[in-house]
Amino acid sequence: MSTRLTDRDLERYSRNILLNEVGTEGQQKLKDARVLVIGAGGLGCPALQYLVAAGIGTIGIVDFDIVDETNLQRQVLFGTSDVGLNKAIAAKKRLESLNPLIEIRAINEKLDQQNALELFSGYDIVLDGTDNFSSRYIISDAAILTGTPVVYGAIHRFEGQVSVFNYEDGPSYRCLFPELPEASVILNCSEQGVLGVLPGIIGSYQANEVMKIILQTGEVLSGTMMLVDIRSNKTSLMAFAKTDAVKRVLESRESFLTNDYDFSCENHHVAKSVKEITVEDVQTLLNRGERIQFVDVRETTEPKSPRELLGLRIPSGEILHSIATIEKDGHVIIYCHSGVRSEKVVKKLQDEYAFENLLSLKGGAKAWVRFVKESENNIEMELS
Amino acid sequence: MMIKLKYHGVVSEIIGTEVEVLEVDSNSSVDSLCNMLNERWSKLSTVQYKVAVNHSISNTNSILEDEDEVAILPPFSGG
Repeated sequence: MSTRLTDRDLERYSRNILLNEVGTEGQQKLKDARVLVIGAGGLGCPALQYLVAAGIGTIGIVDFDIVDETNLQRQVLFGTSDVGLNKAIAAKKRLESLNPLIEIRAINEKLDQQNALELFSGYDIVLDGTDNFSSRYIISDAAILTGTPVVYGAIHRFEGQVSVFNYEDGPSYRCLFPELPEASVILNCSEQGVLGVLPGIIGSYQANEVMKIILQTGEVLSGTMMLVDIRSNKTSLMAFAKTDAVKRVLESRESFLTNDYDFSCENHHVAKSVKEITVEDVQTLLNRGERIQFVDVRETTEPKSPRELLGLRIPSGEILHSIATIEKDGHVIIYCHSGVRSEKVVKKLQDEYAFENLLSLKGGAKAWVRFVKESENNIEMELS
Repeated sequence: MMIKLKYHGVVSEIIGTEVEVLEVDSNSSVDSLCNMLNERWSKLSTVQYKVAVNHSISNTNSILEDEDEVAILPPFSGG
């Protein structure tokens, strides 16, 4: 569906059009383009702002998540009144007020193998603004299978990466990182701090790559990974080549729907062999005066509440080094923030180090603190 | 010979520094450098990372040269 630029378009986008590299022809290309942004988070928000403002004709936004108050320091499309709303829908509303001349589609779904191929086939470019490896590999593989270029952005603390995959037969994400990093999942599970300006910068770089691909101008970051460090202001470009990883994805097209991409923190499925203990049962043991060793497997940088259990802190990634300090008899309760990492740690220690006495705290420190607060409130109510 | 190492992302957190000058045997390969690093920091072996030599992602059998700039690049997941 291609509609000609209107007088209003020519007026609104005149600063684009004034550039020789754009002109009315380039603006028409922008109007004809269809871009799918996956994740309306730290990267997606700034990228969307510029893509919408530039007059890209059709923009799809995929996000199943809801706006949380902690998102607002970096996800600049949302305001306080959006907390609790779906991100794709809230972003569409905001973006439509920024630019009513284009088509914006909110897709309130979680990207998965079932919907990825169909979604991708309706767009020219995919922008990866996700926050987990699982989605990044689904995007990478679905893009190879549908022949769609991917504008990739990712951040870690003060550093960012930007690249373009699968562009004009160029290399893909798997040419750099062939396999899903299952072994390191424990390392990547905790929430990391970030200054909002970093995804702002990286998301803007991603929007810039989208513009260059559509306008067919400049040097696209295909076969090149750009690294940005906002502390030193150093950027570097790393060249990389296509490998047979792309061929392998194409050859195993049939297995795309059944591949296991699902190893993210939220979607874990640890075998049921791990025994869990509820916060109520922990209290019962404590009331009985039983001896319990508590092991806290969160990172040392993660905050603690004063009401928390006093556990021996051994971050999950270092557990194997401190294995001798974990008792092999009696009650040992492993806990983390929400009960996901602790379950993985218990599983590993059971399977590989023959522990039989470990329990994972169901709901983690979060559940414990909630439980303690509720008990305190009940006591206060009884007293008053 | 000496090489200049730059650690990125979670790798720099594991190692506890971002840059380091390291002495390695002449004719060391990228692979032998990785083995050495993984031995020094066992946690590193759980991370999938790429090695860029002088701004180009290298094969594991590439041979390092004196004063090479070597970057250790893990994937980032955040967004």
